[in-house]
Amino acid sequence: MLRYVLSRLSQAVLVIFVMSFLLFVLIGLMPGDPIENMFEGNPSLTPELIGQMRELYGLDQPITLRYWHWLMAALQGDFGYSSLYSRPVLTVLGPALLQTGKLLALTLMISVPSAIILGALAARKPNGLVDSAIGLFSFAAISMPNFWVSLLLIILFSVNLGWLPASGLPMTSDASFWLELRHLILPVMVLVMFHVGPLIRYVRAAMIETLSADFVRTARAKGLSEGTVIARHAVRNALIPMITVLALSFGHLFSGALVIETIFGMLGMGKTIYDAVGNIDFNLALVGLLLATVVVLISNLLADLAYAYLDPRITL
Amino acid sequence: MTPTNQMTQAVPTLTLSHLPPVQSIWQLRFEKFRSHRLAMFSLGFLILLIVICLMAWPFSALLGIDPNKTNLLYRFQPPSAEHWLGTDDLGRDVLVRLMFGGQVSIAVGLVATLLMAIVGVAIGVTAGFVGGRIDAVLMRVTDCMLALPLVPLLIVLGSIDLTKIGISQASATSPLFVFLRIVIIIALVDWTTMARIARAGAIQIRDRDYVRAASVSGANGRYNVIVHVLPNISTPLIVASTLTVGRVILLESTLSFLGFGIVPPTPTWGNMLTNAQQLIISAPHLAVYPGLLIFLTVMAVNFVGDGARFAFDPRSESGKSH
Repeated sequence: MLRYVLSRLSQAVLVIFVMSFLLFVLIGLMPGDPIENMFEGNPSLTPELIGQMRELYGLDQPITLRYWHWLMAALQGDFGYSSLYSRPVLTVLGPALLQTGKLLALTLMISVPSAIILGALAARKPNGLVDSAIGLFSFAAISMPNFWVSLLLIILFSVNLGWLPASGLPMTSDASFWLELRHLILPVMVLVMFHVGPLIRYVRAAMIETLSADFVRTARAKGLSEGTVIARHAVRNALIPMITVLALSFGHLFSGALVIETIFGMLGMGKTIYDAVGNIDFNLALVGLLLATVVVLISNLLADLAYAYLDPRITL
Repeated sequence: MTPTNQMTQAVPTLTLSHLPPVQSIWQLRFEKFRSHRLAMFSLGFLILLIVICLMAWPFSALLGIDPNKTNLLYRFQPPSAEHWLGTDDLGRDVLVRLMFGGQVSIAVGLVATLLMAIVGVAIGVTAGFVGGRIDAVLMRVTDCMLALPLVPLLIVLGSIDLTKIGISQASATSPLFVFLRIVIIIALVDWTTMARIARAGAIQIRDRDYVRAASVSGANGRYNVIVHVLPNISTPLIVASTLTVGRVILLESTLSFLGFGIVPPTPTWGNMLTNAQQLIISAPHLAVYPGLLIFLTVMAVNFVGDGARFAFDPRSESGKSH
């Protein structure tokens, strides 16, 4: 067990190092120049001065050396300043991560139970009316562009009905719980739609397979009611592998969160990365992307461990 | 046939006519595909859509409409004989832009999928067939790629300044280059699904007796791959490719919507929605058409993929749609 955890951890660390180098190179290729961005439109800046500044910040050095300096600083906890917010990047990303965490947690709390219920319902009579309707719904959910769904919901609930706010969640901590919840309803609705489609299809396939297993036949032969057979025997067994599917969907979910946060003006990780790239904030974009990668990798690791813990047939 | 002919040929035809007609595997698959009504309907829809999008040139020439010409005096026009779906916030014809945008979106979907299939198969088959360290590295890479958040990565890739890697300003902004760029960056982050499928297939085929027999008879690796592996992995790849087209169209439209994909004036269904949010109160209908087309197209592509999966699966029964 410990061996497995350590090997997975070391792999994750290796991936993070490789990703950080790749991202470092990529971010350096974004348009603009950090020195010119810093002193935008300052007429007194002569080419010599720019050269001196480059030397001062080490921008004249080869990229591998610059990466090395960045890495050394980062390992000591210095991730640099955000030029967009004029604050250390970590103080920008901390609240953003919390915001995205709330969004994703609420989404998972709704999408996972509804996927289980709908998938199990569909599996009861494959190709029946209920199955076809749920199948059509999951296909539609998979095929919908999430930004378009967001726009439609804003038109319906914010513009026409005026029930829910379309944006403008205050970032201050004194926003009341209910105010925050009201702002989260539409984004969570879109994200659930985005997330639930593939999950339903997965649960349905797993349930159909499980329902034909011998232990389900035994349970039925014992005279258990159909509800007990499905809820206590079939679902529990079909769902363990779902953890892996869920883990793999975190990256996808994060992508969805980026789009949705951007549309609904929520200052989460996604919108922060989007703004950083759009405004050429090199540091913020780099650390934001890296943090997103780390979070996704850790959730993957945790899901794998949970899988091993929940399935007694697997020993690590 | 005349009665005399039938008389003379009576003996041989009588025995043969009792056997069902010989069908190739592709005929059988096509028949199964045809029994999947939703897939057939979707295929028809897609063909019609492509034809309509290709009509953009003659249609706009006939009505004398330039899809990229702005006219601030004709903003937000309602549908009329000249502008069938009205005009947008810059006075451009919505219908003609939808048609041209469809060409771009569908072309990106097809070309990027083709590129991914080529790259994925090359890498996946190599890894599966050669095995060893190459295989181990590839699987680690694909594991990571599967878990990564793609859209943030694509945004960075989409914002890269091509002049910094030695491409001239003029060619970097040419429409062909913008098209190729989005195709390449999507293929770059999404080739791993294809590679995994190709690898799994290659490993299955690698140890079959007929491949070993071929090797013993002196066949080299390349011969085995071309003659034995590729035909055997073609069916899962066709199914995966179809579903990939849908995913690519969604990714492209998302990127273009966010402003990091194909940028105006070239219309795509994604970037036609970029301004929709600002205009949501004055012109909500502008937010409806492009998204509806993305939705219907991706849904149709996914149904065709589902139909292909059904048709290629020897265990599925004809006449049942799921």
